[in-house]
Amino acid sequence: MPKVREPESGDEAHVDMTPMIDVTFLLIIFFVTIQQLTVLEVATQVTLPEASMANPETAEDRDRLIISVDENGRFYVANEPLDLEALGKRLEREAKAGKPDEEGYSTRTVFIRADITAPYGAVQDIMAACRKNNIFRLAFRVREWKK
Amino acid sequence: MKRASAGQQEQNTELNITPMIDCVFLLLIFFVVTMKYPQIERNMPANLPKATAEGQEEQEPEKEVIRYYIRLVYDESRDPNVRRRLRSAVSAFKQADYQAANASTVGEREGQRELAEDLKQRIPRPEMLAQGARVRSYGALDGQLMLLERSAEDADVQIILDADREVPFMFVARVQEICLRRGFNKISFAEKRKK
Repeated sequence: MPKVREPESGDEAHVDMTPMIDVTFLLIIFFVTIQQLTVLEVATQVTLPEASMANPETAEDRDRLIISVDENGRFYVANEPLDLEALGKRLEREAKAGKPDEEGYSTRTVFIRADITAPYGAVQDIMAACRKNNIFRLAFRVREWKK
Repeated sequence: MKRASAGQQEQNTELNITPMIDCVFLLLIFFVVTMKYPQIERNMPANLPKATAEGQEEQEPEKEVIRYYIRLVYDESRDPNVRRRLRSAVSAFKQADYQAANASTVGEREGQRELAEDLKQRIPRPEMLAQGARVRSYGALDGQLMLLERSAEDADVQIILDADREVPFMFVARVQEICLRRGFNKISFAEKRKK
């Protein structure tokens, strides 16, 4: 215990260092942990377009599928590159896994994180694949833009 | 801080913790400075045209449905090199953007960011066609939508967006945003054209 054993009779204040060190260690652990917690789904480096008319996140985690598209039109799910065929299979799996809603459409929501320079054709391909698999809930991911 | 032990029984080693606290604070400052805040991502909903058995969505029969087509194209008849220019402009921009993100000094990063912005502006914009008529700028498109808003008071406006495959996504997103700003929430994306 780093307490000074003999308090001096002078005017000096003796600060007990232990709690301060505890708090500091806690803070360090907090910051270290935060840095490790990058969600894999949104880990693909993509520059999203800016929009001011966007809505905050509403879909639940399990009904969500996030597909990222980079500037070369390549698709990524959970930071793993896929080609169109593999994407189709993945969408098929996702669509079949959930229960369809009252109108018969899949309850899965697909979020497309497309880079600003991603070719629109790639996005179109994703939408076509979604349509084929009965997924009609789509949204584009954007960055917030405050005018 | 070390107390001289009076006798051999007292083995009190006092730990001088001042340097330890210094190290701890250094570590803390390091982690605070290298923390990167994740960008908050939001969603812009996109609708796909739902094909029912009849081929049309059943709306309330009294309501008129206006379909407003907006297309983004690169017209090679006007500018034969536009696709090539697009490719080189996009790669130049992406390179500068990458440099900006990985710059080692703040000065370098700012410089690269400016360069990247400049290059982004140089990316050729696609031609916008609203109901087949050329629209010269985003402002003009907004104006057209304002007219549409006025002329379609009761009717249900369905905006159908389409673009060439090479069109960079940012232009499509911008058009979608302009439509949303004007209050047109029913935006759907056209199916792939079979060329």
